[in-house]
Amino acid sequence: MQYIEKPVHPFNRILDHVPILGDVIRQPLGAIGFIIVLAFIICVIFAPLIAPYDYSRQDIPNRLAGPSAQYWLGTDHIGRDIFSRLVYGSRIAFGTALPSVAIALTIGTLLGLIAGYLGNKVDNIIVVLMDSLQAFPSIMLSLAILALLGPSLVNVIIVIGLTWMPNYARVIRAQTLSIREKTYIESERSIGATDGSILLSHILPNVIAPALLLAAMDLPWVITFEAGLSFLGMGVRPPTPSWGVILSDGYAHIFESQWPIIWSGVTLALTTLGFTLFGEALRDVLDPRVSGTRGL
Amino acid sequence: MKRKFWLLISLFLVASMIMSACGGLASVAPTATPAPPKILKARLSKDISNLDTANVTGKEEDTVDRAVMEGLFRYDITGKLVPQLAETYKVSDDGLTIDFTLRKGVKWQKGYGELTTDDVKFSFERFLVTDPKPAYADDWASLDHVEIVDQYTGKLIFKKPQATLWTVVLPMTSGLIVSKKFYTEAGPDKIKTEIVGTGPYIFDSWTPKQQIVLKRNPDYWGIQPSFDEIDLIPMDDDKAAEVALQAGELDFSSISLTSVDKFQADNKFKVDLIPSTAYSWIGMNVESPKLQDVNVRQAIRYSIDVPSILKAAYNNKAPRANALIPEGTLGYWKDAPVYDRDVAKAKDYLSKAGVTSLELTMTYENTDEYSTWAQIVQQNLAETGIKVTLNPLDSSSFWAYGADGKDKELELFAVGYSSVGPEPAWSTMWFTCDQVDLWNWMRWCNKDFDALHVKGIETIDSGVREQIYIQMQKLWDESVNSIMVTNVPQVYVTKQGFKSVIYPGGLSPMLREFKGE
Repeated sequence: MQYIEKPVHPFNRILDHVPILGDVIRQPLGAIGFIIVLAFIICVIFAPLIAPYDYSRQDIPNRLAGPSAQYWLGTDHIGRDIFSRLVYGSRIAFGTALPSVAIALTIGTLLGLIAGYLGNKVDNIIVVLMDSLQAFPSIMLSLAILALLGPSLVNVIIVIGLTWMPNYARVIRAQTLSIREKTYIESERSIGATDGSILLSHILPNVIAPALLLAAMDLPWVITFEAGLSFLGMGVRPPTPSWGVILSDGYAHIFESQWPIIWSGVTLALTTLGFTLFGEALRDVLDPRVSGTRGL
Repeated sequence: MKRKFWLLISLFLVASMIMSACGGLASVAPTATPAPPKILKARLSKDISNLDTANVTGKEEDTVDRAVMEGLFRYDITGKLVPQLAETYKVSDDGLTIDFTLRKGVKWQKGYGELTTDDVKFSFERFLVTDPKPAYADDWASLDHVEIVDQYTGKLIFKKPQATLWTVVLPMTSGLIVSKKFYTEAGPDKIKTEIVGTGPYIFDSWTPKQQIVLKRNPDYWGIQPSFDEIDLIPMDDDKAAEVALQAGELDFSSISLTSVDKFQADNKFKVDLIPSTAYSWIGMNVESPKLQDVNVRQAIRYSIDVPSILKAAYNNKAPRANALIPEGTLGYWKDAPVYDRDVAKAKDYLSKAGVTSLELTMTYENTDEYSTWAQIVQQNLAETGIKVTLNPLDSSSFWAYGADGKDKELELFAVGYSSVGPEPAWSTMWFTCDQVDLWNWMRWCNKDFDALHVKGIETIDSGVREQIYIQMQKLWDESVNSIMVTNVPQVYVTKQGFKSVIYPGGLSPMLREFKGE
């Protein structure tokens, strides 16, 4: 009996060399998500090369102009190029989302590990603390903290990080609780391993995957959350081009021109879509309950 | 069970009959003339905080007060001063005594008895109290006392002439007469949010942040007002108000200048663009170490492109202001110098000051209007070599600079003050030396300016007054403490089927004269 080997597309061969990401891209929706996310990352990195104008350059005689060869997406109320502002705005969106999620992930993971591993009073205190933080609607909590600290990019990052942190603490705590009683952890303890080394060497690697997935899924929400805070005037300072600021400025002139609102809305929607599709494909690949094939 | 079934059937039949009857009426309706509306829904730009006539916070309180309360005199719909609660009056030759006779039988709302000269005396003499001094104490600064002759006759006795008396005191909020009985019973806190008057509308209720309801006063002594009820809805955001107008949730509202074209093109609305006495400017704190040198301030003056601000923030629908007192008000300085942008000149001034690097903070209320100003100023000054950091603040944080000397912290700022009536003293009064630490945020103190301000109030001759105010503006201009930007016109939109009237000065709607058509 002769077997004929099915020819493998060169692109698939490339994907075979990229673990996880290759599996994500093989899914059609994952591929769409990846392309969108990649496009935005390119904007973030190469903003000065992509944007035709400086984001703060004003051309007041051409204010609120529609799309044209000179201004591809039109101009805002002080004649700034909307396309350039959106491109530079991607830096603010990602520059806020990534550190915010990193703060939430780091602190949440640390607290979740401590609560789940030590249990008893420490666990109770941390759980009550997380419950208290989650009891407030996140937007109200953020506005209250920003009102105290004052609006700025750094403060927005801190506030979003703190607001999102309990989600990670809960996920990690639940995972730690289920692992700490496993035989191999008991064995480590019996041979004299310290709590620190058990936590870092044995528990953390086994509980971090769901938190990383959660982080990927949270990114689009954090981007829209930042835009929401900027829309309410509690985000970055003008003339920094946050997408929320562009949306807010556009709202004030909605009867004169709809382009600023349309383009900033489309950008936000596309980013959310891209990250959501990418995150869900990543979950399918990483979560053994969904894929049934592989996990970290 | 059976009984319930028949009951339901009967109810259904009755309901069907009622609905058919209504349907029949509805089919007749188009041929009949629609009845004038009985409820007016109007916007207030913000919620009320103090309705006390001696301490009103702004034009919103002024609007409510003047719908409910009345004075000896008032402005009519043509802007002419006419007697209101004064049936007759006579001014002495020296202008220091006004004899008046009250209308007889005028009743206070909510059962507070009849209006008498005792109420007039109480209303005006409470401005003379010094502890605590009312915010508008200056309005009655020249009053000596009110003499009661009898229940309906009295005299206003003044220590010295006061030119503002007939323009912005007697016919305006400080000239409203309050019920002595109500004020005494209510106490200082209650009078901030509850009022009793003799006017055509009764202050019925206030639900904070939601609405104020005024009801028709059935016992009103004059012509009955047009509406049974006026609902005043506080809305800070112009765009929200504009959407509410289009959705039919408001019958009358102020709107932003940038939306004028849209509403003018819609025949469901009438748009009134009214020149106002409000004035807006970019101020410089002359005490700030960075701004003490007049050359630095000149550099800033020549850097800023005012026409661009007017184009971007107001779509060229607001006039340029070159001096403090607006056109149409006595003392308007027609030949005030116009400072056009000249970056080379600005740089010269900066080098004359020996400044090589300058960083300033610009503070403003975080509205679309001032945010636009600030971003243009930031760009303009960057071209001169001055770096500006923007500091937008919410309304309460921004206006908190008007207390306890907090204005010391300011450097550059954008601000607008409103002058409820066309009276020059109301524009100059905030920039005297005793207003430093309060509302004189430039912290510019000039004794000659102060002396002229007092002289302007005490001078009755309008020709002399005009020269006094022009001289004051020259002093202001020489000091380079600010860049005047505009006198923002007020835009009011009235839904078809309603007729609106605005007080002189353009800042407050005359609700008592609104009509349904």
